[in-house]
Amino acid sequence: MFDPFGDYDSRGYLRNTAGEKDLEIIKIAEHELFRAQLPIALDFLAQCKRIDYPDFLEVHRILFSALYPWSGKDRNTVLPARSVVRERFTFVTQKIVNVRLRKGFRLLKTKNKWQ
Amino acid sequence: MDIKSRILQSLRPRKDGLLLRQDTKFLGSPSQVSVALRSLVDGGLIEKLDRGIYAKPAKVMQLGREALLKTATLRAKNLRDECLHRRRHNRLTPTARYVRNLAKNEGVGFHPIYADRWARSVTNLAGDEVKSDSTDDLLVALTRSGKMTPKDMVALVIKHHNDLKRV
Repeated sequence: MFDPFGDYDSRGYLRNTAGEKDLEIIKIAEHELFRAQLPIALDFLAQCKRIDYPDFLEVHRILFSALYPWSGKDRNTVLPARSVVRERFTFVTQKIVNVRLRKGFRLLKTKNKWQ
Repeated sequence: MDIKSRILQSLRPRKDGLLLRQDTKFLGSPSQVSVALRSLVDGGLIEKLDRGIYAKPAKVMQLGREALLKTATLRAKNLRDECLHRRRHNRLTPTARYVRNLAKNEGVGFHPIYADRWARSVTNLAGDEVKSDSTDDLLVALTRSGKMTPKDMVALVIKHHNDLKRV
């Protein structure tokens, strides 16, 4: 069970707004929310002159905040100083995420970098 | 064509030679079917093996009562399961009824767009398989059209699927 907050029993899967614990139902809710919010997220991206880290967080907030109130927040704020492990994988630390993301966005800003 | 002929006609193509009472429910009213079945048994055209289980006399001779009863029990179970599955699938949960009425009152219908294909592909790539039903589709349509907040949509999706699990 993926439970980085450590409070699945009291607040449901990943502190979702409904306190739901059934993963099958959570999957459906995530999927339907993604379908409903995707056009809004794309409209938001379309009006961005440059996509940067805060925009990346905003897309996450638009897509999932109705289910996960913490979405769109930096992991440093949501889970400070905690490593996240899912199945066999350990997520990289927030420090590395920030460095890599900023590098990625810097590369994106460079014209034709991905072509 | 009378009910007796229709019963015999429905029995003719069956390879297992079995006729279950459930097979005859669309051929007439329960009492009419009962009379017709009794008459066919009396005439020796079918044989009664057990309550609600009939067979062609030739098949009883060929395979024996026990073997036929075993097959009949299995078929009855499959029919029951199928019926239950269909009832569950088609049953409108209170949430589904509410959503349907709301969509009707708001004049909103679901029309698939690129986001639906995209979301399906993303969900599949994540290793999950989600099959949306018509209530989910209407909830998505209501949210996209601004008639419902995403938070209300999520609450109703969760309630609808919890209702479905309880049916």
